[in-house]
Amino acid sequence: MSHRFRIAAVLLTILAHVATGCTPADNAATLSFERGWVRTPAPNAKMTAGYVAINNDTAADVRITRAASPQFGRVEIHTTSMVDGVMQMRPVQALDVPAHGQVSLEPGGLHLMLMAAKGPLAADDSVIVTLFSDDRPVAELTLPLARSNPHDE
Amino acid sequence: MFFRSPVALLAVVLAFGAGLWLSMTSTREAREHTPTLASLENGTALQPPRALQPFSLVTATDTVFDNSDLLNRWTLVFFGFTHCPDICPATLQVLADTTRRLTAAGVETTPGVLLVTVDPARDDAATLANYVAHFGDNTVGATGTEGAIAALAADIGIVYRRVELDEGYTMDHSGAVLLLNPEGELAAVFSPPLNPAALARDLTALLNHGDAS
Repeated sequence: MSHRFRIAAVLLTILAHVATGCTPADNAATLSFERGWVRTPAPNAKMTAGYVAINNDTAADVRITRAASPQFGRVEIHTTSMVDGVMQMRPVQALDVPAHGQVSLEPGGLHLMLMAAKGPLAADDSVIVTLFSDDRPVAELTLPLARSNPHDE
Repeated sequence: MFFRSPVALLAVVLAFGAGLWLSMTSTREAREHTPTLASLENGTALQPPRALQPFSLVTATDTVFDNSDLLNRWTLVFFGFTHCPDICPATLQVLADTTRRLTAAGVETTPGVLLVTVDPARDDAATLANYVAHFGDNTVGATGTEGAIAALAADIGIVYRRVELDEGYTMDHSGAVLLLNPEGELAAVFSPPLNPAALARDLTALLNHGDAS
Protein backbone atom coordinates (compact mmCIF):
# COMPACT_ATOMS: atom_id res chain seq x y z
CA MET A 1 0.00 0.00 0.00
CA SER A 2 2.63 2.43 1.12
CA HIS A 3 5.01 1.45 -1.68
CA ARG A 4 2.29 1.71 -4.31
CA PHE A 5 1.22 5.02 -2.88
CA ARG A 6 4.73 6.40 -3.01
CA ILE A 7 5.13 5.45 -6.64
CA ALA A 8 1.82 7.10 -7.46
CA ALA A 9 2.88 10.25 -5.64
CA VAL A 10 6.21 10.42 -7.45
CA LEU A 11 4.61 9.80 -10.83
CA LEU A 12 2.02 12.44 -10.16
CA THR A 13 4.69 14.81 -9.00
CA ILE A 14 6.51 14.37 -12.28
CA LEU A 15 3.26 14.73 -14.22
CA ALA A 16 2.44 17.88 -12.27
CA HIS A 17 5.75 19.33 -13.27
CA VAL A 18 5.38 18.38 -16.88
CA ALA A 19 1.97 19.99 -16.85
CA THR A 20 3.21 23.19 -15.29
CA GLY A 21 6.36 23.42 -17.36
CA CYS A 22 8.71 22.93 -14.44
CA THR A 23 11.77 20.82 -15.03
CA PRO A 24 12.76 17.83 -12.91
CA ALA A 25 15.79 19.85 -11.86
CA ASP A 26 13.50 21.96 -9.73
CA ASN A 27 14.22 21.18 -6.11
CA ALA A 28 10.50 20.66 -5.60
CA ALA A 29 10.57 17.65 -7.88
CA THR A 30 12.60 15.75 -5.33
CA LEU A 31 10.10 15.92 -2.54
CA SER A 32 8.87 12.43 -1.79
CA PHE A 33 5.85 11.32 0.15
CA GLU A 34 4.88 8.34 2.28
CA ARG A 35 2.24 7.17 4.76
CA GLY A 36 -0.44 9.30 3.14
CA TRP A 37 -4.15 8.87 3.90
CA VAL A 38 -7.36 10.82 4.44
CA ARG A 39 -9.77 10.00 7.23
CA THR A 40 -13.04 8.74 5.74
CA PRO A 41 -15.57 11.38 6.74
CA ALA A 42 -18.97 10.57 8.17
CA PRO A 43 -21.64 10.48 5.46
CA ASN A 44 -22.60 14.03 4.50
CA ALA A 45 -19.84 15.49 6.66
CA LYS A 46 -18.26 18.48 4.94
CA MET A 47 -14.78 18.16 6.36
CA THR A 48 -12.06 15.73 7.24
CA ALA A 49 -8.31 15.57 7.69
CA GLY A 50 -5.45 14.35 5.51
CA TYR A 51 -2.06 13.04 6.58
CA VAL A 52 1.25 12.41 4.82
CA ALA A 53 4.96 12.40 5.60
CA ILE A 54 6.94 14.76 3.37
CA ASN A 55 10.61 14.05 2.69
CA ASN A 56 12.84 16.75 1.31
CA ASP A 57 15.72 15.02 -0.43
CA THR A 58 17.33 18.24 -1.59
CA ALA A 59 19.92 20.57 -0.11
CA ALA A 60 17.44 23.44 0.07
CA ASP A 61 14.58 24.05 2.49
CA VAL A 62 11.12 23.85 0.95
CA ARG A 63 8.25 25.92 2.23
CA ILE A 64 4.75 24.68 1.48
CA THR A 65 2.41 27.60 1.71
CA ARG A 66 -0.86 26.33 0.36
CA ALA A 67 -2.82 23.20 -0.52
CA ALA A 68 -5.86 22.61 -2.68
CA SER A 69 -8.08 19.72 -3.71
CA PRO A 70 -10.60 19.46 -6.55
CA GLN A 71 -12.89 17.59 -4.13
CA PHE A 72 -12.92 20.27 -1.42
CA GLY A 73 -13.72 23.95 -1.54
CA ARG A 74 -10.95 24.85 0.87
CA VAL A 75 -7.82 23.16 2.21
CA GLU A 76 -5.78 24.56 5.07
CA ILE A 77 -2.77 23.36 6.96
CA HIS A 78 -3.64 22.99 10.63
CA THR A 79 -2.02 21.67 13.73
CA THR A 80 -3.55 20.09 16.80
CA SER A 81 -1.74 20.43 20.09
CA MET A 82 -2.59 19.52 23.65
CA VAL A 83 -2.07 22.18 26.30
CA ASP A 84 -2.81 21.04 29.85
CA GLY A 85 -5.09 18.30 28.55
CA VAL A 86 -6.98 20.73 26.28
CA MET A 87 -6.98 20.05 22.54
CA GLN A 88 -6.31 23.13 20.43
CA MET A 89 -6.50 23.24 16.65
CA ARG A 90 -4.95 26.20 14.84
CA PRO A 91 -4.13 27.08 11.23
CA VAL A 92 -0.43 27.29 10.36
CA GLN A 93 0.81 29.68 7.68
CA ALA A 94 3.35 27.36 6.09
CA LEU A 95 4.99 23.98 6.35
CA ASP A 96 8.76 24.20 6.34
CA VAL A 97 10.38 21.01 5.17
CA PRO A 98 14.08 21.36 5.97
CA ALA A 99 16.79 20.30 3.54
CA HIS A 100 17.40 16.55 3.84
CA GLY A 101 14.64 16.49 6.43
CA GLN A 102 11.09 15.32 6.90
CA VAL A 103 7.85 16.83 8.15
CA SER A 104 5.20 14.38 9.19
CA LEU A 105 1.50 15.17 9.11
CA GLU A 106 -0.24 12.71 11.41
CA PRO A 107 -3.25 12.45 13.76
CA GLY A 108 -2.99 14.68 16.79
CA GLY A 109 -0.48 17.00 15.11
CA LEU A 110 -0.05 18.69 11.75
CA HIS A 111 -2.74 17.82 9.22
CA LEU A 112 -4.38 18.98 6.03
CA MET A 113 -7.80 20.29 6.96
CA LEU A 114 -10.08 19.48 4.04
CA MET A 115 -13.18 21.67 4.18
CA ALA A 116 -16.35 22.28 2.19
CA ALA A 117 -16.51 18.87 0.50
CA LYS A 118 -17.99 19.26 -2.97
CA GLY A 119 -19.76 15.92 -2.83
CA PRO A 120 -19.95 12.64 -0.96
CA LEU A 121 -16.81 10.50 -0.97
CA ALA A 122 -17.22 6.77 -1.56
CA ALA A 123 -15.25 4.47 0.70
CA ASP A 124 -12.92 3.39 -2.09
CA ASP A 125 -12.26 6.92 -3.36
CA SER A 126 -8.97 8.70 -3.12
CA VAL A 127 -8.45 12.37 -2.41
CA ILE A 128 -6.30 14.47 -4.73
CA VAL A 129 -4.31 17.19 -3.00
CA THR A 130 -1.95 19.64 -4.68
CA LEU A 131 0.71 21.29 -2.55
CA PHE A 132 2.01 24.73 -3.46
CA SER A 133 5.15 26.63 -2.63
CA ASP A 134 4.09 30.24 -3.03
CA ASP A 135 1.93 29.94 -6.13
CA ARG A 136 3.88 27.13 -7.72
CA PRO A 137 2.52 23.58 -7.48
CA VAL A 138 5.20 21.30 -6.05
CA ALA A 139 3.34 18.01 -5.84
CA GLU A 140 0.04 16.36 -6.54
CA LEU A 141 -0.83 13.63 -4.06
CA THR A 142 -3.39 10.86 -4.32
CA LEU A 143 -4.32 9.95 -0.75
CA PRO A 144 -6.39 6.83 -0.01
CA LEU A 145 -9.39 7.08 2.28
CA ALA A 146 -9.27 5.05 5.51
CA ARG A 147 -11.15 5.02 8.80
CA SER A 148 -7.94 4.87 10.80
CA ASN A 149 -4.26 5.05 9.96
CA PRO A 150 -3.65 2.29 7.37
CA HIS A 151 0.09 2.64 7.93
CA ASP A 152 0.03 1.68 11.62
CA GLU A 153 1.69 -1.64 12.46
CA MET B 1 -21.52 30.47 28.03
CA PHE B 2 -18.39 29.73 26.08
CA PHE B 3 -15.29 30.54 27.97
CA ARG B 4 -14.12 33.59 26.11
CA SER B 5 -11.73 34.77 28.76
CA PRO B 6 -9.11 33.12 30.93
CA VAL B 7 -11.05 34.36 33.96
CA ALA B 8 -14.16 32.45 32.88
CA LEU B 9 -12.09 29.36 32.19
CA LEU B 10 -10.39 29.70 35.56
CA ALA B 11 -13.78 30.10 37.23
CA VAL B 12 -14.96 26.84 35.72
CA VAL B 13 -11.81 25.04 36.75
CA LEU B 14 -12.16 26.41 40.29
CA ALA B 15 -15.83 25.54 40.37
CA PHE B 16 -15.05 22.01 39.29
CA GLY B 17 -12.27 21.76 41.86
CA ALA B 18 -14.59 23.00 44.57
CA GLY B 19 -17.28 20.58 43.45
CA LEU B 20 -14.84 17.71 43.49
CA TRP B 21 -13.62 18.74 46.93
CA LEU B 22 -17.15 19.09 48.26
CA SER B 23 -18.21 15.75 46.86
CA MET B 24 -15.15 14.14 48.33
CA THR B 25 -15.65 15.65 51.77
CA SER B 26 -19.43 15.59 51.78
CA THR B 27 -21.02 13.64 54.58
CA ARG B 28 -23.82 12.90 52.12
CA GLU B 29 -21.53 10.23 50.84
CA ALA B 30 -22.67 7.32 52.92
CA ARG B 31 -19.65 5.33 51.91
CA GLU B 32 -17.04 4.49 54.48
CA HIS B 33 -14.18 4.72 52.02
CA THR B 34 -11.78 7.58 51.93
CA PRO B 35 -11.98 8.77 48.30
CA THR B 36 -8.82 8.14 46.40
CA LEU B 37 -7.60 8.37 42.84
CA ALA B 38 -6.20 5.11 41.53
CA SER B 39 -3.86 5.03 38.57
CA LEU B 40 -4.96 3.15 35.50
CA GLU B 41 -2.86 2.35 32.48
CA ASN B 42 -4.52 5.12 30.42
CA GLY B 43 -6.14 7.22 33.11
CA THR B 44 -7.33 7.56 36.69
CA ALA B 45 -10.17 5.87 38.60
CA LEU B 46 -12.23 7.68 41.23
CA GLN B 47 -12.75 5.55 44.30
CA PRO B 48 -15.53 5.79 45.21
CA PRO B 49 -17.17 7.08 42.03
CA ARG B 50 -18.79 10.52 42.21
CA ALA B 51 -22.46 11.18 41.48
CA LEU B 52 -23.27 13.69 38.72
CA GLN B 53 -25.50 16.73 39.11
CA PRO B 54 -28.86 16.42 37.33
CA PHE B 55 -28.51 17.24 33.63
CA SER B 56 -30.75 17.17 30.58
CA LEU B 57 -29.55 17.04 26.99
CA VAL B 58 -31.15 16.10 23.67
CA THR B 59 -29.99 13.11 21.63
CA ALA B 60 -29.72 12.69 17.95
CA THR B 61 -33.23 11.34 17.82
CA ASP B 62 -34.57 14.48 19.51
CA THR B 63 -35.37 12.72 22.73
CA VAL B 64 -34.27 13.83 26.17
CA PHE B 65 -31.05 12.30 27.44
CA ASP B 66 -30.60 12.76 31.18
CA ASN B 67 -29.10 11.01 34.22
CA SER B 68 -31.62 8.18 33.96
CA ASP B 69 -30.28 7.25 30.52
CA LEU B 70 -26.95 6.39 32.10
CA LEU B 71 -28.37 3.70 34.37
CA ASN B 72 -27.71 -0.03 34.00
CA ARG B 73 -24.87 0.35 31.52
CA TRP B 74 -21.31 1.66 31.53
CA THR B 75 -20.87 4.75 29.36
CA LEU B 76 -17.79 6.39 27.82
CA VAL B 77 -18.26 10.13 27.38
CA PHE B 78 -16.32 12.45 25.08
CA PHE B 79 -16.89 16.16 24.58
CA GLY B 80 -16.18 17.22 20.99
CA PHE B 81 -17.79 18.69 17.89
CA THR B 82 -18.34 17.72 14.29
CA HIS B 83 -16.30 20.61 12.79
CA CYS B 84 -13.22 18.92 14.23
CA PRO B 85 -11.56 16.78 11.56
CA ASP B 86 -8.55 15.49 13.47
CA ILE B 87 -8.76 14.71 17.16
CA CYS B 88 -12.53 14.16 17.52
CA PRO B 89 -12.92 11.43 14.89
CA ALA B 90 -9.59 9.98 16.01
CA THR B 91 -10.90 9.72 19.57
CA LEU B 92 -14.22 8.20 18.49
CA GLN B 93 -12.33 5.74 16.30
CA VAL B 94 -10.17 4.77 19.31
CA LEU B 95 -13.35 4.14 21.29
CA ALA B 96 -14.77 2.05 18.43
CA ASP B 97 -11.53 0.05 18.29
CA THR B 98 -11.64 -0.36 22.07
CA THR B 99 -15.21 -1.66 21.84
CA ARG B 100 -14.12 -4.20 19.23
CA ARG B 101 -11.34 -5.38 21.51
CA LEU B 102 -13.73 -5.77 24.44
CA THR B 103 -16.17 -7.74 22.30
CA ALA B 104 -13.37 -9.96 21.04
CA ALA B 105 -12.32 -10.55 24.65
CA GLY B 106 -15.79 -11.82 25.50
CA VAL B 107 -17.29 -8.73 27.18
CA GLU B 108 -21.03 -9.16 26.56
CA THR B 109 -22.24 -5.65 27.28
CA THR B 110 -19.68 -3.13 26.08
CA PRO B 111 -19.91 0.47 27.31
CA GLY B 112 -22.09 2.86 25.37
CA VAL B 113 -20.32 5.84 23.82
CA LEU B 114 -21.74 9.33 24.30
CA LEU B 115 -20.49 12.31 22.29
CA VAL B 116 -21.56 15.59 23.87
CA THR B 117 -21.08 18.50 21.51
CA VAL B 118 -19.32 21.62 22.74
CA ASP B 119 -20.58 23.42 19.62
CA PRO B 120 -24.39 23.33 19.81
CA ALA B 121 -24.62 26.28 17.40
CA ARG B 122 -23.41 24.09 14.53
CA ASP B 123 -24.24 20.63 15.89
CA ASP B 124 -27.96 20.07 15.91
CA ALA B 125 -29.47 16.69 16.69
CA ALA B 126 -29.64 15.57 13.05
CA THR B 127 -26.04 16.55 12.32
CA LEU B 128 -24.87 14.62 15.35
CA ALA B 129 -26.98 11.58 14.43
CA ASN B 130 -25.36 11.41 11.03
CA TYR B 131 -21.91 11.89 12.52
CA VAL B 132 -22.00 9.35 15.35
CA ALA B 133 -23.61 6.61 13.23
CA HIS B 134 -20.28 6.48 11.39
CA PHE B 135 -18.57 5.17 14.54
CA GLY B 136 -20.90 2.35 15.55
CA ASP B 137 -24.43 1.72 16.68
CA ASN B 138 -23.42 1.95 20.35
CA THR B 139 -22.59 5.64 19.89
CA VAL B 140 -25.04 8.41 20.79
CA GLY B 141 -24.66 12.14 20.10
CA ALA B 142 -26.12 14.67 22.49
CA THR B 143 -26.61 18.40 22.22
CA GLY B 144 -28.53 20.86 24.35
CA THR B 145 -28.66 24.46 25.40
CA GLU B 146 -25.32 26.19 25.90
CA GLY B 147 -26.15 26.36 29.59
CA ALA B 148 -26.96 22.67 29.92
CA ILE B 149 -23.77 21.62 28.14
CA ALA B 150 -21.63 24.04 30.13
CA ALA B 151 -23.11 22.82 33.42
CA LEU B 152 -22.50 19.15 32.63
CA ALA B 153 -18.98 19.91 31.40
CA ALA B 154 -18.17 21.84 34.56
CA ASP B 155 -19.63 19.10 36.76
CA ILE B 156 -17.67 16.39 35.00
CA GLY B 157 -14.37 18.30 34.74
CA ILE B 158 -14.30 19.18 31.03
CA VAL B 159 -13.23 22.63 29.86
CA TYR B 160 -13.86 24.15 26.46
CA ARG B 161 -13.93 27.54 24.84
CA ARG B 162 -14.68 29.15 21.53
CA VAL B 163 -11.69 30.53 19.61
CA GLU B 164 -12.21 32.93 16.70
CA LEU B 165 -10.23 32.23 13.53
CA ASP B 166 -9.70 34.44 10.47
CA GLU B 167 -12.55 32.51 8.88
CA GLY B 168 -15.09 31.09 11.32
CA TYR B 169 -14.20 29.68 14.69
CA THR B 170 -13.01 26.53 16.37
CA MET B 171 -13.47 25.05 19.82
CA ASP B 172 -10.69 24.19 22.25
CA HIS B 173 -11.79 21.32 24.44
CA SER B 174 -10.48 18.76 26.91
CA GLY B 175 -9.29 15.61 25.20
CA ALA B 176 -10.24 13.36 28.12
CA VAL B 177 -12.72 10.48 27.90
CA LEU B 178 -14.85 9.87 31.00
CA LEU B 179 -16.22 6.58 32.23
CA LEU B 180 -19.60 6.57 33.95
CA ASN B 181 -20.69 3.47 35.85
CA PRO B 182 -24.14 1.82 35.64
CA GLU B 183 -25.30 4.06 38.50
CA GLY B 184 -24.54 7.10 36.32
CA GLU B 185 -21.57 8.12 38.48
CA LEU B 186 -18.16 9.33 37.31
CA ALA B 187 -15.91 6.30 37.75
CA ALA B 188 -12.77 7.11 35.75
CA VAL B 189 -11.07 9.68 33.57
CA PHE B 190 -8.97 8.52 30.61
CA SER B 191 -6.34 10.99 29.47
CA PRO B 192 -4.92 11.43 25.98
CA PRO B 193 -3.02 10.06 24.22
CA LEU B 194 -5.58 7.26 24.21
CA ASN B 195 -4.55 3.75 23.26
CA PRO B 196 -7.22 1.15 22.41
CA ALA B 197 -5.26 -1.77 23.89
CA ALA B 198 -4.58 0.06 27.16
CA LEU B 199 -8.16 1.35 27.33
CA ALA B 200 -9.53 -2.14 26.78
CA ARG B 201 -7.36 -3.51 29.61
CA ASP B 202 -8.42 -0.68 31.97
CA LEU B 203 -12.09 -1.12 31.09
CA THR B 204 -11.96 -4.89 31.52
CA ALA B 205 -10.58 -4.39 35.04
CA LEU B 206 -13.12 -1.69 35.94
CA LEU B 207 -16.14 -3.48 34.48
CA ASN B 208 -15.18 -6.68 36.29
CA HIS B 209 -14.90 -4.91 39.63
CA GLY B 210 -18.24 -3.16 39.49
CA ASP B 211 -17.78 0.38 40.75
CA ALA B 212 -14.25 -0.37 41.92
CA SER B 213 -15.17 0.51 45.50
